[in-house]
Amino acid sequence: MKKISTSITIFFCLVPLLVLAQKQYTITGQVLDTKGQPVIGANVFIKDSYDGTSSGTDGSFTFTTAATGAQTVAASSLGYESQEQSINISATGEAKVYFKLKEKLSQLTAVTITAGAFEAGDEKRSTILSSLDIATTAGATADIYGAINTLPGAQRVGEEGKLFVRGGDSYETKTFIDGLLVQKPYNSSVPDLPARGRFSPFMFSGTTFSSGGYSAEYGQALSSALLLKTNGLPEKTETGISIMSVGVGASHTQRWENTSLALTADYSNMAPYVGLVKQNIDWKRAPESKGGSIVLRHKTSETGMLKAYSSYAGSRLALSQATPEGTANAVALDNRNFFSNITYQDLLTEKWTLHTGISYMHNADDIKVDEQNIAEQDNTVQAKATLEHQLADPLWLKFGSELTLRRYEQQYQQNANAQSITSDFDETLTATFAEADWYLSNNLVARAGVRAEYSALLEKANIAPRLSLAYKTDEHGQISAAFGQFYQLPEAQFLKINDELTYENATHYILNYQRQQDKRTFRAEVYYKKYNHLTKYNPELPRLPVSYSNSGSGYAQGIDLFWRDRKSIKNGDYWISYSLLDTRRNYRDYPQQAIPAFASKHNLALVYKHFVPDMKTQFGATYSFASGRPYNDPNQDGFNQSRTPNYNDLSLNVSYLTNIRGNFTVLYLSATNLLGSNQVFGYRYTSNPDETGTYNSMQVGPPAKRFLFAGLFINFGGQSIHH
Amino acid sequence: MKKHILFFAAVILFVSSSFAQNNNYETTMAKNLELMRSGKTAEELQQAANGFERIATAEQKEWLPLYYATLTYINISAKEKDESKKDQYLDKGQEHLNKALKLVPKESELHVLQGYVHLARINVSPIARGMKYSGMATKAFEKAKTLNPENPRVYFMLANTKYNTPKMFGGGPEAAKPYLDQAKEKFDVFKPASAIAPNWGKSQTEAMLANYN
Repeated sequence: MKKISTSITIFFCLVPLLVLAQKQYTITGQVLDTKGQPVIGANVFIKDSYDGTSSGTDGSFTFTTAATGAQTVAASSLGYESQEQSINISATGEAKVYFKLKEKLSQLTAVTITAGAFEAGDEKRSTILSSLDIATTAGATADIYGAINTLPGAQRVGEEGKLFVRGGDSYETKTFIDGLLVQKPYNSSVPDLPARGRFSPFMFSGTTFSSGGYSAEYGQALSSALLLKTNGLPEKTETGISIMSVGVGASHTQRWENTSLALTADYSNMAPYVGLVKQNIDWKRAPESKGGSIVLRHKTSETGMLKAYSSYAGSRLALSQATPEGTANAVALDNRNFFSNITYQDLLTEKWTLHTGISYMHNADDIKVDEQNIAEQDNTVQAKATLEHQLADPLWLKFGSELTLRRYEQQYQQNANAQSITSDFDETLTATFAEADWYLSNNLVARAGVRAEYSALLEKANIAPRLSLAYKTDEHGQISAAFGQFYQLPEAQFLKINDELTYENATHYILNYQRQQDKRTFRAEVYYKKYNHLTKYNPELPRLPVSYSNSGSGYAQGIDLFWRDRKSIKNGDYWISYSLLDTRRNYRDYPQQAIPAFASKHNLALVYKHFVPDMKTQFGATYSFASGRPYNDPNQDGFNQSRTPNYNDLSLNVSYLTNIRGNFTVLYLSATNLLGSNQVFGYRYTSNPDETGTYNSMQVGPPAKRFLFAGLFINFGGQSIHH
Repeated sequence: MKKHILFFAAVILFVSSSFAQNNNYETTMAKNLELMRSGKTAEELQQAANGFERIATAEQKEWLPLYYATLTYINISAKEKDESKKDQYLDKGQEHLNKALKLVPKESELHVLQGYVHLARINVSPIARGMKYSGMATKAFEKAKTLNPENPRVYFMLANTKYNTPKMFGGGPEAAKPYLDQAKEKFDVFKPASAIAPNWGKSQTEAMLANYN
């Protein structure tokens, strides 16, 4: 008995010693990547044990373990696929393990296709502009299109205010909200009065401005696609009011756990302003508009999101528009616009994502020009479903279909007693597309896509292939190339007369280099765009279907440069855009191929923003330059042979951030054309020569030399912004 | 008798070896904590993070290794200059935190850490992310407060959020002061559950409070 208890005691005492006395084996090796470069700081360890270490600067490692026999050694490091190896730790000698880690495909570090695309967003790495940048660009007065106009590839066309991209007319650029087409993204306007975008930049958390070569998901745009992504669930319940020199607005957002509802209402009236500031326009009724919107967001699950947006806006204006004949036309416009956009997206399984949506726009314009009445109603419904599937780690597929129904109708009355002439069309456009993104490595990606469309109105189909490649040359630089075919229906003004036309067509070739390093971005892009089947008509017989054809053509080529630096100047941020454009086309009523009236050879924008923390104020300045644009002087030979003077504009804005009784408040002031440069957009000529045989002209310019704006925006609800 | 003794021996053997194992857990954790606290460079901190990851894979039921792995990745992210890498480290931290939250969803400390990850995201792009992530962080801290109102780190982190929020959005040193006072009060009576349980923030709170005089 005694003997036994002694042995127990001895045993008991030995247990900890046994643990301590376990033989330690040394494991050494090295962790390299597939290129043979050392992976520093990789975690190397025996699985399910504490034994392990981190690799050193040369990727090598040494550690000891008490484990023996068959074991698994694992190596993992950020940005690499983890790897495991089986080893056999025997009593003799040390074990050696060598790892070759494969780089993990990651959206954060992988190459992205940048040819043609400018991304503005709040989250992604490739972001060049943030949503706030768009809202605070001087000269744009918080208009998305005004801000995009400071990017290369966009063209300043003062009398239109719309986007003209790379030698393309404004109708060649389409706007998409959450993937769905917006048929009329601009406010209605009359000739020579610039339009603004309908949507506030604050609605969107992401903007991609594509000046060419874009994805097969988008069609019906020959030149450019502006992709706007709406905000998700707002952070909190809050109420805002705005008091502006041109109107007032109010909004309220209610936030519940998974749902939010926001209501906005606004009213603007330019009458007090145009009464104070000298105008070049003889207003009979200064522009007035009222509108409102309802925005619903609902998180249906951890991954599902339902978004619904509806807005209504009504606007009116009237003016007496001078003619080169010396008379004046009484012009009046009355617009009503209803827009609704509902989307739903969710992860179906880990590898399948569904995006669906439906949008509807009703737009009605009543235009009066002296005795004439023109009423136009445009209704568009678009439904779309897209599936995204990760077929393999490096291979992503995206495919979907969309259906667009459009009813367009115009009634024209020469005078109140004349018979009304109706011209209209109904269109059903079906489209389907498929696209694959194939990451050959973290440094090389290829995107191949194809889009097929069928128009019931034209009774014609088209098939548009798209192809892009991007190659990362080093950590900060990359080269992208894109090619694509783009088709678009002729504009409504032609289709309403003749529906036997065919698609207009453009082919894009783009080569891009981009370098992003340390808050600095440099981009250079060269492109060539070929136009075919542009719509032409005989201006003598505009109401006859036979005077329309698709015999037009053209080209555009050029270089776009962009430089942004958020580093060199403390609290300062600037970007410079320059575009060189060479374009000619023969379309519409052009008698020959010519440089179109909207195209200037050189476009330059310099945008500067500076925040002064002590004053809590941001100052912004934008200088824009555009070389003279062509116009047709009937007193001279040829067509579009003359050039306007160069365009210069210096705009400033100031935002002062403060709080009024604890409520976050922004005071905003802006002024365009501070230097008062004489801005000439073109000339209008008399239709007939006078007795001396000359056509007389009048200058087309902005509605006023400068536009001044002041606004006070107050937010109730104690927003918290982390600095 | 012999049978009894054998059984007895077996019990002792079992108990002592599991004690050794458990002891090993605490000592290894403590060793790594030391590495984390003394780590000055990203490389040194990466070693600590790797250590916590190794323990976490071996001890699938423990949340503390995951907790500290996350905390270490927040610290690495703060040292990193490259914006996209900052996010990658935080993604890694979030991964560990998610695992920990699956083990003990009602642990107040984990929700404090969740808020901390959100705050760290702001540093990548303060203007673009400030509003979104400070809101998310505050939510996480409030959740941590409901789970354990006595957790001093809740108040310390809330104070930090307030402190770094511009005055015009209702933040600033003055707005942070009451939270710091509360944090100090709670820290003074706080007893960590074990030698390796979360026990940071007191000296930082005192340092911040010292600035007010």
